Amino acid sequence: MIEGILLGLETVLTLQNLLLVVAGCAVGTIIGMIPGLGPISAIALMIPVTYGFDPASGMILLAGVYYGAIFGGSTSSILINAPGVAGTVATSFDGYPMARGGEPGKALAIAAWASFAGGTIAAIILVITAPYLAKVSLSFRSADYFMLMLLGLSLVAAFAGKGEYLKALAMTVFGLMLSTVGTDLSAGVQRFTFGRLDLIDGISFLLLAMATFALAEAIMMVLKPDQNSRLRVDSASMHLSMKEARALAPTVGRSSVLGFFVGVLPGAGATIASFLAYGVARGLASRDEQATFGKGNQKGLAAPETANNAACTGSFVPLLTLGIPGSGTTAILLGALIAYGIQPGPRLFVDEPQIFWAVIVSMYIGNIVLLILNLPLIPYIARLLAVPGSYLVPLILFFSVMGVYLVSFNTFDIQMMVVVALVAVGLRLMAFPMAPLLLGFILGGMLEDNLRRAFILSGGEFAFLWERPMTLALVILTTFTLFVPLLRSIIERIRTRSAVRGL
Amino acid sequence: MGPSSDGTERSRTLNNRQRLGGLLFLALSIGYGIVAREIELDFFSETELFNARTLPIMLAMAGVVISIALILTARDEEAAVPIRSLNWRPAITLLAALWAFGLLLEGLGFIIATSIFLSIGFIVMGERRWLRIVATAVPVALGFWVVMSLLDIQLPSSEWLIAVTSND
Repeated sequence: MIEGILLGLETVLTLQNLLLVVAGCAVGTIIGMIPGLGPISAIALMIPVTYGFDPASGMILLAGVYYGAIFGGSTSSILINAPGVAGTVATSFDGYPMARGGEPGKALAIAAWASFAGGTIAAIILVITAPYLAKVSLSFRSADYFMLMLLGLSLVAAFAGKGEYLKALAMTVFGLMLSTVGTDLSAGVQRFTFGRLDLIDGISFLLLAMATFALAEAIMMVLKPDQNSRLRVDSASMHLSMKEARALAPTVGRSSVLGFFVGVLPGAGATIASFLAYGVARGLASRDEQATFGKGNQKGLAAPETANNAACTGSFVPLLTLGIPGSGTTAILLGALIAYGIQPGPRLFVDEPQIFWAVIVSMYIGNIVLLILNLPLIPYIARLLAVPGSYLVPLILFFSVMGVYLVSFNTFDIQMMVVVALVAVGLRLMAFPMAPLLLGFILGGMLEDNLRRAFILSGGEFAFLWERPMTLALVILTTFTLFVPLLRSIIERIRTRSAVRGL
Repeated sequence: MGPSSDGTERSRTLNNRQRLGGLLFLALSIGYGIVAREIELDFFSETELFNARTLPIMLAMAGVVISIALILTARDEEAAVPIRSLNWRPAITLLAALWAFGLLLEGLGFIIATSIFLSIGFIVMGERRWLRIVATAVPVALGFWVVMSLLDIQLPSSEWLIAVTSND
């Protein structure tokens, strides 16, 4: 483990890589601060830039962008009550009231320190657990992988929230469908290309991510403009006293551990972690203190801020050890890794330990950089929030399409992005979530490969699903996740119907 | 596929975004399934248990089941898509401008196409000060082009301009 950390440090601690972490954090913060643009958009926008670097440096940059975007989202949650990311919605509950109450600087300082603490504790847990998990997962076979992916996809839907389960499931299947467009690599036949040359290689994940997130989010900003009052921050107010820090420590500690483990679960991620941590912090508070939650309580701000950062770190566990992303953000990071020619999973830890450890170390360095860089710069960065939307939106559109065009140099891609963005806006308006689509799309190819292999190895029998206890356990778990929410919604439906009839 | 086409339709189905989504997804799944059955296979893979059609057909079936569940479990109180209250005009104009940008990028060249696209974008978003529009759009286009040239990335140059100047 120590060797691993040293290996990681050796890879990361070059001038170029350190500059990349700093640049990544800065760009991530700026993009994440724009209401509506989250970490997925931020990473998608930065991926084309990383193609010029080696894979380790690319991942280092993207990890910085990820943390920066989450922190930027917190900043806009606190200052203008407009969370850029779902993961920072809970931050606005107490962060915005604090800022309104005349303490915007202190709120930002708590957010920065809490994020840092959450990231640190989670990074320690990750360093201890990830190599062990990677070793265990070496024993996985195709059938296990197939079931694990299915489990991951169904968990994403199961965690999607009340009433969103079926919509998330539908989007997952839609993503899987899109992944089948192009040439089937095993048989070499074209599928769903409708004779178009541009589709023979399939839809590029970058195009899909950029169109469904960055483009669609920019268009949503135009469709539903929101008016928020803006607050000014000066750096003098950003001081946090030792006493305050001590009072927050237990909350931060609890939220870090909670956040990490929620983040490890596929599909749960930063959003659920932050809400849970907020709930726990509120639940543990005294009755008098509970009344101040939602009105600018410091614990109410520290808890979700710690948890969302810890969850980001936790979400790297399934990505790095199994090669299976658990969230939209890690899905796009997986896409980036594949584009670099690297297949994450247990082999990554064995074959390319320098990348494995570089990512872990750079995540931590990202946290440090965020603290050093952002704390003093926040008052200035926050002024960017004043850039009028009339300039912002066209620029986001331009950078999104250029990001895709600069990879393919095919103008057909720009037009396809417009079509995809239009569909995505329609789906967003119908409240269909986008992250499961991306996850299904990225996992589609691997899912089919593993299913095919499992099928062939078992001689065309479905027996592979129950022959090994490991696979069987995964099958049972997946069936459970898939059907319990479905049954619940059907039972609720029947109940409300009979209640209506009874009246 | 945007829901704008049914703006006047006030039926129960289209007013419910889950039911509408379910119906659209049902249509998609059925269409996908039909195309999946027609994926061309060679003689050998046709007899194989797992071929290029297998997963798509499974997905189509899953899609049909999920969309029927979506339609059946939609609650009546589910909100409609707020079509009327949205700013459709600028959004659609921006997307149309982006489409045109893709179409004309190689003909007009990167700098001209980008300057025009950004200017249109700023105007659509309500900016009316001409000097500001030009003073933002052109430097962005030029700056991007310079950075890319430094990185040895060739952006499309103006075919049209070259054609005109070489004829003289």
